[in-house]
Amino acid sequence: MSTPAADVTGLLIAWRQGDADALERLLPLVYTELHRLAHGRIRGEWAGQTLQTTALVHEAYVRLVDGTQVSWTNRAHFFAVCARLMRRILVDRARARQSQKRGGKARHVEFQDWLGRQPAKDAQMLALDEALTRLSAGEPRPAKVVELRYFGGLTIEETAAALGLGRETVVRDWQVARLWLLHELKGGSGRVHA
Amino acid sequence: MSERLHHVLQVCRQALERPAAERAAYLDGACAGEEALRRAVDALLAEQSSAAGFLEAPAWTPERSRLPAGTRLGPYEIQSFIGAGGMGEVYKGRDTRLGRIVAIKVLPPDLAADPDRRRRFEQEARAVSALNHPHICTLHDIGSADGTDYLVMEYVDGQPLADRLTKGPIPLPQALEYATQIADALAKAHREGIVHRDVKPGNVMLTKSGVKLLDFGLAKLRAPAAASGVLSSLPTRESSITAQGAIVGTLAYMAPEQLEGKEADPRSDIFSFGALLYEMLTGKRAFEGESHASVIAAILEHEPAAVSSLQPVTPPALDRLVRRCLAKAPDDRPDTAHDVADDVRWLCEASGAGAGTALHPVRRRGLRVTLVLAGLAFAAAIGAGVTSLLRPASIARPSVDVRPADELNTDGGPSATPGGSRTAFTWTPDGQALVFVGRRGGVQQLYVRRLDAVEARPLPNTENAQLPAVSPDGQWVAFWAGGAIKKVPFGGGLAVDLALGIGDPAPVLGNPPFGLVWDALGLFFARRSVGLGRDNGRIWTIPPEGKPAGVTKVSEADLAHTLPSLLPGGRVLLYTVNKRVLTWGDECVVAQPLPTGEPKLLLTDATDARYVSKTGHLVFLRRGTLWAVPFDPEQLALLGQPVPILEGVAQALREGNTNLITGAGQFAVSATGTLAWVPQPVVPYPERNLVTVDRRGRVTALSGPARSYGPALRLSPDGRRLAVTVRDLTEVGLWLYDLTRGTLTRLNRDGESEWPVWAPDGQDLMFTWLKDGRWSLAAQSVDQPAAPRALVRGLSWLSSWHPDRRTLAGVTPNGWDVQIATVEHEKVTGVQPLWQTPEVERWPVFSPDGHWLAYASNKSKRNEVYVQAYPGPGEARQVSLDGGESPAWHRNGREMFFLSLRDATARRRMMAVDFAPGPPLWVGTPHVLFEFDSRSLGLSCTPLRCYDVAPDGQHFYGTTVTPTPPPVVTHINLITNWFEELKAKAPVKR
Repeated sequence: MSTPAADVTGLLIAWRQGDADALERLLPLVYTELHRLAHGRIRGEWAGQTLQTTALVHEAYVRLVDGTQVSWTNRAHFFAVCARLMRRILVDRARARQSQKRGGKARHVEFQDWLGRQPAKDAQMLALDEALTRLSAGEPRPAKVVELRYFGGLTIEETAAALGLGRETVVRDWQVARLWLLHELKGGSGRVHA
Repeated sequence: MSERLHHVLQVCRQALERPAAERAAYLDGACAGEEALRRAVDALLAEQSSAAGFLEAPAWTPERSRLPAGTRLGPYEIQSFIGAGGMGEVYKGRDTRLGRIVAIKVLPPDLAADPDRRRRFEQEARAVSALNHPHICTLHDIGSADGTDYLVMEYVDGQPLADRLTKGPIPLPQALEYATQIADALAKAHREGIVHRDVKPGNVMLTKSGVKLLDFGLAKLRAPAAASGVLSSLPTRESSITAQGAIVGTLAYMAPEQLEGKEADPRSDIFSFGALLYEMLTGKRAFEGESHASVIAAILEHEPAAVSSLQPVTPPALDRLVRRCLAKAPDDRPDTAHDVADDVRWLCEASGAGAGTALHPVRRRGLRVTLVLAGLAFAAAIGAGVTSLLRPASIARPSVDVRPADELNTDGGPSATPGGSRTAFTWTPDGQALVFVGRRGGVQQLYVRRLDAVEARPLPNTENAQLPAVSPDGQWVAFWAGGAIKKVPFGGGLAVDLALGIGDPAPVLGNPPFGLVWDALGLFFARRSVGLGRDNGRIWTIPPEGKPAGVTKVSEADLAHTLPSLLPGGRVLLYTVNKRVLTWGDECVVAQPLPTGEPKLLLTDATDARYVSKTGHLVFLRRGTLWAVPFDPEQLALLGQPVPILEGVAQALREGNTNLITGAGQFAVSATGTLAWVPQPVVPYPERNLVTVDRRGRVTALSGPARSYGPALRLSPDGRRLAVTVRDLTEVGLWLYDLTRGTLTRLNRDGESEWPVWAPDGQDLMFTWLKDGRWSLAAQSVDQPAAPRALVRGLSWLSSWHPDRRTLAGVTPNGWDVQIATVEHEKVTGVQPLWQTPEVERWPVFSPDGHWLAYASNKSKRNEVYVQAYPGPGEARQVSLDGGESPAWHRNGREMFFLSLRDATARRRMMAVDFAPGPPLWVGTPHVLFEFDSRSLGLSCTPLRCYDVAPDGQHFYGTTVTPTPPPVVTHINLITNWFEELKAKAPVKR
């Protein structure tokens, strides 16, 4: 039986070789590990899963996101990396499909009808990614909360635990970040730039 | 630039932390002179209206994120996936505490994110959970585990009406029966102020015992606060709405006003009901369309074709009723669902005469049922399901009054429960007379009312009697009065003591009996108190010649055994096992072969079971509804699923004096098939307001909703929060009231949490916790989400921390001595009585410097407040002069407060007395601060103090309650030939 890390390697190689489904298959692996960990973190069951999970995410992260070695400074960092990885996979996937379809960048993205209750369309995903990057430049913490919540799928409590923040702080960060992003994405008047 | 973003978000964040009404004022100040900043913040805040739900669903979730079997959500265990609906995924699960099968709805994660929405959700859910009706799917619980929110509902085994309707119209009699039940359910909910908002075939389940209406009020919860009507939001929000998966199916049943975004009211449900009835009768939707727009247009503008044009034999009155329900203007519809239910019933029972119809006698389950229906065509269609609607004419529902008594009442005074907190009547063995507890001119005694007599006759020598039980030969009546079980001859005569020392009243909590039954083998009674004495909580027997002896053994997780009854022959005892003191949910009914057999669990969430030998049913109560289940008395086995038989049977929540839950029902089944009962829904705990009272007695309500607060509250060490408890019918939860923000937050709602005391560091609350039948002293972290931790088993009454942070004063489990608990590293290392005296000492409290212990004792024959050096040595100094209880210290240690004793008009005084800690100790003369009515202002409790003092000693915290007039019962309702109804509703398979 192959280890998760080996799976990741295989999937990433397949992805580079043009297997469009490879990333799709990587998602559940990262997601499962992230959530198992998030749950364990809350229940105090961190030990025992660390090695395996670290190996998996490390492998994927190095290969997909950042060519250099990463070393985890702490658990919060690790969670952030997992969520970043989820984000990167989803955005890459969206970008790949987008370029296949149109052979270029989206010109017009309609947000009026997208309220995030259903999966984002590819163009929406890319625009959100860009907006989030802008938010991150000015206000890293709310941006990180969005990454963990939206891309990582963590609950408020899990996010608070992962980032070592109070619950109220996470609730407020989440609230203002969403207002700002929504405003950005709609391209409303009086946009607040980073 | 990034500084600007930071600034904008910061101001926005601050604004959001304030109530909406204060935001503008805040922004005026924060953005003074910075117009661009104000514009930017306003622009962000303006997004709120459309931000609900934005990004709430994660970017990606695995296809199969369903909870696997075995997953635990709090006390619930997932068994299997049932389906996904508009509000989330539904699972079949098991309540591990009760062994009960439940349906669990796992809610989408967006709910937890918005505190406002969450609060509204919990409020609504609480209201819905109070709905108790045979045709409403009961909401048992709402909970949250590991960030997953869920609803726990009654598990309903049946077929959705929506599925049934795919096969075409429903035969008229059956459609009318369903319609009556749905209308009854709506009427009940509307009376409680709850509108369903989403009546549709998908929310109606067809079960063996009739329909069940699901998802009451949940439609309201689904929509975020900002969401308005469907119509106004369709152009821009259609995708979001369809994504919720709910509106599409519902649209066709929505009232015009709902589509226009107006608030739904009971008449909106009546419209939806009309659409439902139309479809049941015709098999066609009342309003159809290819798209949302065309369905909406149909509802707003079109009249559906008359039912009679599709089903020619429809009675004209039914046609008219459907049309009235479907009126576009709410004012043109029937006023109440109750009226609708009556109309449908009338249609069923009496219509058709004018339409020249035939009478069709139908034999069904051995019952002669007369059906009066319009039209021959439907006669052939009459099949299963016509039971409750079409009663044989011989079932009568008369009542007998209790004259010459003024009222039926067992409680020696006004009682919150109709008839009192114990069953107030019993049948004679021949079923010809009722023996009941009546009160006349303040005198309580037994009366005998023969059914053929004009009025009841008082039974002499039965003053203050409760718990009547008639001997099997009909010659004697036993009862409980004045601390003894006695008997008198049925025809009148002197009372004979059978057992003495049973439930002696004050000064201490006695072990009062909670049920009495007389059989060939003798008398059986249950006794119970709050304490944990050896003899407490067992069922006892008084043999014909002999002394009382315990017959049941109370296991560690049984709190008490109550409400005994016997199977025929007296060989098997039935009783209720109580695991709670104040609430319902854990109690169960067991059967125990006598004299020494093993108890066998028969029913959970059940109370006061009695066996009806003529029909072979166990009947029992479940929160005010009488249920029945076929039962084999030999094998002690249930022969089917329990079904609800009669709603709104008076059932006592609490006993008047001891405040213990009793669960006793006001019903009795005669050997000849007559049910005697008192109608009344369960009376919940009264709502109270949190208040402050200043030193002059002026009462000011704190902001926030009225709740069923428990009496005890405690101020946090920093003076900013109050720890309070909130009681509902199934839980006593621990809550925090934030004095600066006026908000109420729940800490736990698991079991019963009472008597909170803050840890000195303000991080933890200690409290008396009752869960799964076991008492413990528990701790609960205040600011971290965590479950309560049981520190030590056993009943503890905690009162006061010593400043050494390791010594806790309290009251012993029996409630009459001061005890000291030692706490080290979160562990209770010792609990022992401080003194053991023949007197009663209560309300202990340490002085702020820890050198003194104040308490009240009855050593002078009435309660007085004393103060004594701690740990001693030293004499006790009497503080109060004219009686006193519930002392509390000013935080400066130089003043003490206490309450005077309750006078004849229930008034008390708040007293203050000055101290100079010395040495030597100097105690001033007590003076009156204010006088108050202890029935409406809750400052006094036993055996611990339940008010608290503000840090500056200038005011007090307590609760107020508006006294409501107690119900007065003057009639006992009868249902004759009740066995037939029982057999029809809960058929016994042979």
